Amino acid sequence: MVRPPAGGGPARRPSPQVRRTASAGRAAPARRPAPPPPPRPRPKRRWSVVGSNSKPRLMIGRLLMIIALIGTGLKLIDIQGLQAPELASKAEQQSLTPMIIPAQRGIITDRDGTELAFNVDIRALTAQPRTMRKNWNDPSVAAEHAGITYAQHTQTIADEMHRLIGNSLNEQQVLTELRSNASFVYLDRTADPAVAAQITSDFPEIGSEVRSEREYPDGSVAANVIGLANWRTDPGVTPGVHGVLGLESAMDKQLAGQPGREVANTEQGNDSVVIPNSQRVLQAAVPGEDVQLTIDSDLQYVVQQKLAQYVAKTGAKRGSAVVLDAHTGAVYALANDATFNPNNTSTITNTNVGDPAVTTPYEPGSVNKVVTAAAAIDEGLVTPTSVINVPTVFQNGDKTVRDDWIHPDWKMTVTGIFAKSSNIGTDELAKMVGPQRYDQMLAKMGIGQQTGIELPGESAGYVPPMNKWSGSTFGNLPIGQGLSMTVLQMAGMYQAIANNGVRLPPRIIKAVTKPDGTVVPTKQPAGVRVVSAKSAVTVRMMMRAVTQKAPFPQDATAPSAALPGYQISGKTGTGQQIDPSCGCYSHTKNTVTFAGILSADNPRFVVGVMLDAPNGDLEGGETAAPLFHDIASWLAQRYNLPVSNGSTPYMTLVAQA
Amino acid sequence: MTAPARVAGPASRTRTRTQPPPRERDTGKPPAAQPDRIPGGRGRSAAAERAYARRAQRSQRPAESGPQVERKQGSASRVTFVVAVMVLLVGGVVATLWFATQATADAYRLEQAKNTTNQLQVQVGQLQQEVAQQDSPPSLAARAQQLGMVPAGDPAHLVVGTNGKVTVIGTPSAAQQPPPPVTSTPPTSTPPSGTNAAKPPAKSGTSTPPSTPPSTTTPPTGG
Repeated sequence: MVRPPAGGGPARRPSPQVRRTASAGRAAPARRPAPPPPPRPRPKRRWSVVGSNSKPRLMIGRLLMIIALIGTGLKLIDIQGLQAPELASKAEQQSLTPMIIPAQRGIITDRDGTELAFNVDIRALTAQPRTMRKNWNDPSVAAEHAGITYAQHTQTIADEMHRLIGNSLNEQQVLTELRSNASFVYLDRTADPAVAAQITSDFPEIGSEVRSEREYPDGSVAANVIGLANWRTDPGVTPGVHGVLGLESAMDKQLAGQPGREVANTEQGNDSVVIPNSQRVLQAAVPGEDVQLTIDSDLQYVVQQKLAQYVAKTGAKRGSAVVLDAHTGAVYALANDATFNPNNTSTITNTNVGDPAVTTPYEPGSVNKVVTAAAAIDEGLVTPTSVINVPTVFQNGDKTVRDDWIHPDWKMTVTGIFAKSSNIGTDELAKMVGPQRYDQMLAKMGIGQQTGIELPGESAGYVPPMNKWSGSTFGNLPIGQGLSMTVLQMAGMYQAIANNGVRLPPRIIKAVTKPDGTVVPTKQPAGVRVVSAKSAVTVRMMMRAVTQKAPFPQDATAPSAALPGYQISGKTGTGQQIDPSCGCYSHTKNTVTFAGILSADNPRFVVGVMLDAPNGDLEGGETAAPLFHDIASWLAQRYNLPVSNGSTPYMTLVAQA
Repeated sequence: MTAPARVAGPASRTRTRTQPPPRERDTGKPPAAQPDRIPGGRGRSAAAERAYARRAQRSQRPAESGPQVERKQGSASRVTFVVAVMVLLVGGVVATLWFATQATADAYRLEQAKNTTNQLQVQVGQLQQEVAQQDSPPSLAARAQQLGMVPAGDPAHLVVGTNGKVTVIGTPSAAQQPPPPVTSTPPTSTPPSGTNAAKPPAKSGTSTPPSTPPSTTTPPTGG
């Protein structure tokens, strides 16, 4: 503004210089908007520059300040007011890292508190090979590495890890992982925390993730009952240990607890470095509940061992055994021959993870005759000493029923019919009971219904409904054909007889301990009155004859089940299996069973054993009964059972041969 | 571009010129000098200003000697007050800093202690795990077998009757070497069980009498 007129003519050259000096003397910002200063005497002008010109300058300065202030104010309102929530949450996201507080998984103990499953802390060792390689080959740090190549470095890492972890680590695989181009790999998922700390301090590029592992100190003991839990990261579940089999899976919600949430300030870009005192718990973790089983781990081990021995010895396809408390129905042992070691997942196969003792029913055979015995005696139709005429053959509808051994027309006592396991005699007695009452008795014995045990996948077994019975059905059911039950249901029937006629559905969980320490015992299900106490005692005393050792024809089916000092009450069973090729009952494949009460005069335990298709035509008395004897013998010693009052008296089985 | 260099000249000059007034104000702290200066402050030149100031100082000096004592007393209490406040402030700041440092240091110590606790807890867990494993039926059975122990068979019982008569129930017999376990039990190692199975018949009478009684002579337990 000033210059064009000033630089107009060459004649006035000196003056613009002066003026410029003068204008330069004023404050720089004032130069632009300031009008040309009025001509004044030179010495005075210098002073008046400050004085007379300060007013507009102040005005302008003030204006600028005010504009700046207003601008700042507006921005302040914008940031603090309008955008506040958005920015605050953004800031929180940047500085706060949400974290999950893992909930301690509940432990599983046996009835005496021996730990069968608990959690241990482990570390998963991780690496980021792509970043590692990039950083290693970075020219700026090349000097530090002294010519060591990445391959040599990874070899060092793998060697050191192998030295610290041991042979459980596949060194070659670690090398392959480290030299791959993956962005993230797991080197070892089950490292010991101390070892992991050593490795991560030696090689800071190796990361460590906190994990926990389920430990089963007893190995395969009760493995099929407890099942298996492992570290899971499936979508939909909180990362952590979750059950995949057995009770671990069925009770996962209770065992797992509720993980908590917290936020913490962490180092930029590294969530594992938490700034001290910055954690804020949003929700505390609720630990899982501890589960106490009714299982006795020592007994369980012995039963599993003996069962496996007998299965191997007899060449059976499989076997199951169960030990129940006679008075409460609590399961002391529940075993299958095929089992696995939950600590070693490589031992798991399709055939050994299940729990066939509760999931797989079978046709029981003669062991089912106890239903007829209980019904006939409870109805007062016969007494143990009643004599029944047992012919050579018995016509049942369209089928001919025979006994296992060929005999002429015999007069047998009711005791003898069961002790010698006469099919004909049993069918005759069942006929006296009648189909209606027989069907009711089966229901009261719990056949065809789930026991309600806490284990997953329980089978109810099968009893044909009465309206579907064919002509021969009522001849088959009493001798244990045409219906099926699990070994647990089988033992349950004898538990009713042992417990003076009241059947208590078996339970395998003794108590659950809440996180606050309160112990919640399992609610005992209501008992089912099957027969009167008097009838139960009568049946129990009668069934002692099964172990009778006497010359033919007074011999019984299972003298090998006898236990010196104790009166055993029980029943053998040899159920013919269905042959799929002919659709008929096989003559070579049997399901061999024994169910017994220890001891008959003072019941404490009920033991049920089942062997599926042992070699040849071995009968219950030759395979299952000795197994029962072994288990009963161990039980008697383990629980210091008092010996019976005298040995089992001799009973007449055949009144007239 | 050249302007700033030239600007510097007058600007520095104005600065030197404007400096004196604050100096005068500092020295002219006494309230007595102020009324003198204020009316003529604006119109006078810098030199005149300085002259006025000097005169005012000169005139003040003798006057000051009188009330000096009183003022000293007043200022002494003020000084102590100020010093006290300063000491308090400085002390407060130092204390705050010290406490903050301590708190941070404690936080780190706490963190360290927590880490130690965690490590120890892990160790406790591992030891418990070890105990549980050693305590488990499979490993106990294996250890018992290694020691040459065998499971007892059917025991005989002694029953003392009400009349004091002792009856023997069952037949006492020596325990038999059982067949080797079938199920896969992790701790069981086959070599020891194999050697043990071979040993008892040969050494039963000599080396391991307590665990395996001689099989040839049945001890008369019932007697």
